[in-house]
Amino acid sequence: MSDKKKRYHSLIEENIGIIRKLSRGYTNGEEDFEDTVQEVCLQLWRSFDSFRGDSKASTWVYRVTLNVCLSLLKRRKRVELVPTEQGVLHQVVEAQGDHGQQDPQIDQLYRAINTLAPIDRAIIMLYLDKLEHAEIAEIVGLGVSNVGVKINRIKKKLKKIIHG
Amino acid sequence: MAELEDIWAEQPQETIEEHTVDNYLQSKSTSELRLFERIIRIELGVGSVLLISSIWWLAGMPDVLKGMMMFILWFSTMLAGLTLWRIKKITFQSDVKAYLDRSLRFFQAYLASFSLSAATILVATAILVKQAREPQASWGEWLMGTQGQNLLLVTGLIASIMTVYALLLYVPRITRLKHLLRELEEEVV
Repeated sequence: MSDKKKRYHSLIEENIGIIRKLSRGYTNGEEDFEDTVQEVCLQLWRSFDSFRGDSKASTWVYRVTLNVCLSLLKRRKRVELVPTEQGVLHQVVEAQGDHGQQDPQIDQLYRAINTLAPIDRAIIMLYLDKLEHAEIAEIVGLGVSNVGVKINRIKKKLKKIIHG
Repeated sequence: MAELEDIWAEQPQETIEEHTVDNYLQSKSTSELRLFERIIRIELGVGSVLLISSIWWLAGMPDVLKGMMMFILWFSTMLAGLTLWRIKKITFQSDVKAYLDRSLRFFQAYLASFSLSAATILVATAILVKQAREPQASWGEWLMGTQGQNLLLVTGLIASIMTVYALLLYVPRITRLKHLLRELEEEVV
């Protein structure tokens, strides 16, 4: 196995959680989800040589994943604001893997995230992944203060959707 | 009800196998090539119609010549279609590297046969038109006359269109295929 391939595999293994979580926030069915994950992996391979290590590897993965998700969303031209019950449940079961049990709260959270505007989904998922405001701002291309304001608004909106 | 952060943190740690990632790359590369296949099929049809129309446009062409050109075009189209069908057949039996390799050969062969057919048609047109209209004149005299000049103009026009067509549509695809093939040779997939 070539050195590049080894480094690529290790990057994917370390960041697969990021790829899957972000992809899940932008897709409604298992097929779309798998396709998005595959597309992200391919895009990461293609631009692997251009990654110079100026930022953290995870930041770069977040950025590439987000770009792929947004461009696929645009290409599909079918942004369903409320995903189907079956679609989301299926994804959550997949995400549980060997744990076997589905968590209705995670299901509900993803369903709520899927109702947000595309860029808001990215902001809240990055925030929930415990990224600093500055890092989120760098990834989504917004100002730091703007990100802070947006996070508060999105959190309120999500709580309202989830708690009713 | 738990906080959003707590719910999010409850998601299990995800892992992925190396072979799954390899499969991702392989299936994506293959699907891209299948898209190329579809595109070339459409181009094959559109290109042939365009070429026939251009040649049809040549004024005063004898019926026998039209028939001959139609036959050449039909033959080259059939040949390209047959190659495409063979590639498709091979795809399901072979690995992606072999598929890429054959696709690349196909694109190059198609480009070469397309240019060769066009060149043959244009030379044949010149010979037949000259022989039909001014068989006594020398080639130099005929080419300098109105008919020869018109034919040269039309020939140049068709050749230019075809060159631009080939450069814009096929060369980037061949380059991309070569790139994919190189990646495979580096044991990517």
